[in-house]
Amino acid sequence: MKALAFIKEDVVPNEQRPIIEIRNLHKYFGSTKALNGLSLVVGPGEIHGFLGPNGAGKSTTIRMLLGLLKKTSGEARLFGEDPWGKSVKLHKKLAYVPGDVNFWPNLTGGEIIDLLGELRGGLNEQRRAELLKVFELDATKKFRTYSKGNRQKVALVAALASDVPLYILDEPTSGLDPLMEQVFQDEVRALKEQGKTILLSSHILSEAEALCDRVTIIREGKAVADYSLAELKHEHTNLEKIFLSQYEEE
Amino acid sequence: MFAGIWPLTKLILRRDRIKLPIWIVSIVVTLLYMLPILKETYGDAASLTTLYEAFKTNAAGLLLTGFLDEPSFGALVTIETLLWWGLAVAFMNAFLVVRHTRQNEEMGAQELILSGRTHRGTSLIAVLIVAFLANALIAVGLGFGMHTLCADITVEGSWLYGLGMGLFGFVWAAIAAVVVQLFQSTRSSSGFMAVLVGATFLARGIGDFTGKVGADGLLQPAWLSYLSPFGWMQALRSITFPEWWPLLIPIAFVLVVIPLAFVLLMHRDIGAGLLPSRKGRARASRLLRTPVGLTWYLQKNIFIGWLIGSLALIVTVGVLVPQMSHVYETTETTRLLIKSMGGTGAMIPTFLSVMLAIATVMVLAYVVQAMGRLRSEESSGHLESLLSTKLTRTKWLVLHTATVALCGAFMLVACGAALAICVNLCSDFSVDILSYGLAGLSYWPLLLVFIGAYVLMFGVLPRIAGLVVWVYFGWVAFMSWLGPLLNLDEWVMNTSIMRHFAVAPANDITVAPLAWCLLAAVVFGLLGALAWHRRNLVGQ
Repeated sequence: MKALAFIKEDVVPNEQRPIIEIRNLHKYFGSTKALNGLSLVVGPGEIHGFLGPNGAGKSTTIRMLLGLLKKTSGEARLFGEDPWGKSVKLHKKLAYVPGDVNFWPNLTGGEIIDLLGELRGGLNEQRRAELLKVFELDATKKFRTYSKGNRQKVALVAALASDVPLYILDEPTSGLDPLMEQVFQDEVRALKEQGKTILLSSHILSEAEALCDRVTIIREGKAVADYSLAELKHEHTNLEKIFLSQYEEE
Repeated sequence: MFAGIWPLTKLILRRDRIKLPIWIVSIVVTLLYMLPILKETYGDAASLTTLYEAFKTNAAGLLLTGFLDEPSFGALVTIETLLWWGLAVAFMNAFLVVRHTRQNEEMGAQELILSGRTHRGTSLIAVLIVAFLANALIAVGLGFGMHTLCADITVEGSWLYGLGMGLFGFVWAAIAAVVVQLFQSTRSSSGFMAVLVGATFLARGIGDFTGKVGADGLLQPAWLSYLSPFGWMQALRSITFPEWWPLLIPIAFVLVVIPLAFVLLMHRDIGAGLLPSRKGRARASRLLRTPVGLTWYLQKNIFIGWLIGSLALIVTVGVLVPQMSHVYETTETTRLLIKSMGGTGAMIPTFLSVMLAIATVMVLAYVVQAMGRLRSEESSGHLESLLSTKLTRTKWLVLHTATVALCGAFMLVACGAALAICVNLCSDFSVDILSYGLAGLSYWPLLLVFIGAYVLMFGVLPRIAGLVVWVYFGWVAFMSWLGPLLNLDEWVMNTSIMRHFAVAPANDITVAPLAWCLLAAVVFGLLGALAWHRRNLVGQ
């Protein structure tokens, strides 16, 4: 495939070990190929956009990074270690927002945030209070009574209130209104300033363009393009053109 | 009001195209299948007379199977089938209505449906139509099948039995139609329906027990039985002394209750219940923040529900013991009765031990349901968030398993001790509380085998784990309630693991089966944990 030429292995500086390193990863569910030779490298301190259409394999990749799914073949490393075997040790260093936010219907948002924070190894009280305020979330309501956007906020606050080196966010802004989208972007930029690494799976191109240092575009379980946003600017093109160009060949 | 009925009815039939036929066919076929077996075992006049002498005043019988009218085959079929199959029909209807009303609202699907050209009452009409059809099929299947398969049952009796069962089912659909208006969640609605079914079953038992024999020689249950749909169905005496007028009770009930459901529906918001949903705490308690606390939070309601259920049964039994003292002369019939319950020895201890065994079956049901949490946490996606923290797979599994094992042990001891305490308080008999508690605990390895089996299935075949273990539980429950009466081959009986346990404390506890069960539980559990450690997380 012609587009593969976009992947440049030498972009990541050698002296810094990548946080996420996936090479030629395959995952089959029976005869369906969910991942078909995926490569993805995320360096430290980077906000990395992980783009692709629905069903391209984004969530599968993330679940494999969390050790929830077992790879069929290939290589996946998180902080240089095997995410399947060392999952728990690795989980102390990351916070996760699932793509399908679904928690216990009878617990309140506040209780869920505390619980997940505690299980991650403690959460920052001050951050928790700040985040509840900026996201305008009522922590006393039962989870089942929240609207879609508020459910998403519960997951976001729970993850962002943890002080960890890596944040894995699977379509974190689905259901958020434009104001809250802005709040989210501010929070992510603040994390970057602290040197945190973020893997942001999304199909909202404007969001990726606004936040990311690099993006990887995947399609049918394979990376088809890998850009730094600086390169894009230099070439006077934008993500939308690149994204759509992947589909025009057909 | 009637726009969209046909598409919504089709939707229900489409969604339930497998579930509903399985319910209907298994209810009708198993009942019809029982007839030749019963005929072969107890069909001759001599056995029927002996059974009648034994059962006409039998306390356990009155409580669990209803009354025996006469030494006839029809009467035998009535006590063996009417209430137990009634239970299945009641649950079929309750779950059917909850699934297509409250569950739809909770999922948000109802919003989409109502945004189309449908009236807000249409879904309820559609599901009641489907329930009516399902119950009609059961009525016709039984009405046509029973007299065809069994010459002892008259055409009239057969159809009355079928109609009674069908109407009984529709009564439960109507009750569910009201209940789903009251609660906001599917879980609360189903839970409340289960409580209602259990309570009315028990109310009928107490009503029958405290009934009097009338001038015609038939038992007339006390008023309590007539508050229960089970009692209405029994009052037909369809295959002994058929009466058609009691069919009017369920018909009148349905005609009042269904309009009530629609009135409630018209006066509430979609997605909301009539009982309001309260605000909760802003912070998690210190306990909830720990894995142990979360496990307890997820397990405690199931535990408390089943604990109350099994203690209610035990206390009812314990309180009724003094009333049965008049039965226990050592006659030939009493001996047969004891044998029919699977025991040997004296009447009262055997009766109590059998009741303890039946309570154990309830505790087993608790275990299977509580272990089901493993799978529901996984399929709902909750586990994905939990396992992305420092919580390990092993710890999560062990916490749930240990909680269920300990809660199960507590329920067993509580049932045994509560039975002994009630008997001591209410009757002239005096029994040893400690030995009853111990007798309860002697079933613990049985629970552990079920726990181990669930873990094994969960590790290896998570999608069907619950199904497999529930089916085996159903078999064990069936064998312990009806097995002793059916004269089955020894090897068939032995496939129920519970048969290898001594019916304690009337019989001495035997150690060998306990040891084997412990071993099996440990092996199952370890294999399951190993498989769980190596497999993918599997969604719905």
